Amino acid sequence: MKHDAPRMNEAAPHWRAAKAGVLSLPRCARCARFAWPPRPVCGECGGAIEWVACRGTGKIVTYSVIRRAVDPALKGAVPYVVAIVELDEGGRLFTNIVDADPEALRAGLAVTCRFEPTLDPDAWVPVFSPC
Amino acid sequence: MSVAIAGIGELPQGRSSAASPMALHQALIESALADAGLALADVDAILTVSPRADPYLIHAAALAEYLGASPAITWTLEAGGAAPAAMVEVGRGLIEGGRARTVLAVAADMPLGAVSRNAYIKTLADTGPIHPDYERPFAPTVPSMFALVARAHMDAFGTTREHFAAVALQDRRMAALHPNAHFSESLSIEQYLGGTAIADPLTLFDCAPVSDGGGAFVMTSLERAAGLPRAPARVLATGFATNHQHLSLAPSLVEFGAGRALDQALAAARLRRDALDVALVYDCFTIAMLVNLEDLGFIAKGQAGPAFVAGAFAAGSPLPVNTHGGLLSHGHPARAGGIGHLVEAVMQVRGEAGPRQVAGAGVAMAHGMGGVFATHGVVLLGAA
Repeated sequence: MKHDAPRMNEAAPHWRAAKAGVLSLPRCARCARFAWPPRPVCGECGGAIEWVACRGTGKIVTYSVIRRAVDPALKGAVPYVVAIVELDEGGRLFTNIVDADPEALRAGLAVTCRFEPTLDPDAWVPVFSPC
Repeated sequence: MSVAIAGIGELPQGRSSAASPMALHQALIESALADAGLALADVDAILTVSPRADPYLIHAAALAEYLGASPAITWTLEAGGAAPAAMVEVGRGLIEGGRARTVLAVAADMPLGAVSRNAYIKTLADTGPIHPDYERPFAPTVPSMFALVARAHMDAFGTTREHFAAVALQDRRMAALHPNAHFSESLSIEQYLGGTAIADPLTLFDCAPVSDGGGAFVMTSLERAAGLPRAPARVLATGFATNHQHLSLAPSLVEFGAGRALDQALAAARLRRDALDVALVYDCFTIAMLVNLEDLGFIAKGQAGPAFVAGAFAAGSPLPVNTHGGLLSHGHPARAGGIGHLVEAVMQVRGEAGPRQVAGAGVAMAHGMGGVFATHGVVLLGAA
């Protein structure tokens, strides 16, 4: 699937790191809470935000197998899977589950991160597959 | 509050024969003004939502231009399905603040008529409730966003497809009693279970249709409304709540803020939940009905499915819901979704709902939500 490109705004480091094969997320330097999407300061304690490299392991929180695409360009891609994944290190990402049998998925399944290109050559996105 | 809805307009939902979205707006407006016994020249303020099928810089101003009217106020509101409640609140402020005497609100769209259906749905996904940076690259569809909630609800509470089916079937049964409903032919459990898969676990009949349609209403002071032809629908209170905007950033995946909006309205009206006689609950998907019923506080979290199957919200129950057939069967007119709930609430407190009438309906609640459970608006209406 060709991923639509995100805009390069405050989250640009995340998409650029993905191109380099790294899952990079903003985290509070003081209380270690993940701040996604990125914020100037921590919403919980006001601490400074730093970008940290994450292991990229996590669990599916919820998912859906899309059986009908509305975008004609995606008609050949169905079925494909959208999901919310919770990282072991904290924070949730909206993502695709790839390289998996849709019928074998369930909430709680352990997944690990990989990266795929988008229509912007500078921006890649993290996607997840079962461990 | 000292304002009332004095007139309503609605036309058959579905494929409109109107020449354009503006023509559809005009037809609804003429119907509402005639219902109120007022004329376009009486209108001081026009409030609209921006139709997906017909965008302008300021839609309400373009509408006034189309109508040949020039009220001082022409505003277009953006709140998803909570827009009708927002329109009531804005209208109340204008009337009680002395800025307007007659507020005309119209929400209408022509997703079928004006553009091809697939092109429309694609534009909805482009700028609908999907975050352009954090969600769109992964190509979710709108149903898939609600499917994520449905899966989480099933996992947490044991909700089943039969529970979803009960919502779809009841909405369809009620729509059969409404002359304007988009879908009124009978729907069986077998047909529901055989529906095309859209985004697991949601199938065709879990999803509201795409409908041309909408509605219009006229607000004025309660005192003035008492002298107009129709029984006034008293605006008892409004209430609002915003939980999140994008689902992946929401604090919970099974509980959202609708109840806070109703709490605010009940407190303002000095009423308790048991004072409500009929509830119009936003049901863009079957899971939306169940989650919203729970969040509104009509049933414990996780229990809406079994309660619905048991008829807890059916005609004749203590709190009938969606007597017009809901978005699921009365119709979903794109950016105008939710106006049908408010129009039905007016008809109920007027005692004009015919075979759908809840006997003695004194207080009606119309709820609407924007996004994927993101922002909520509630209107409480009282019989004259």
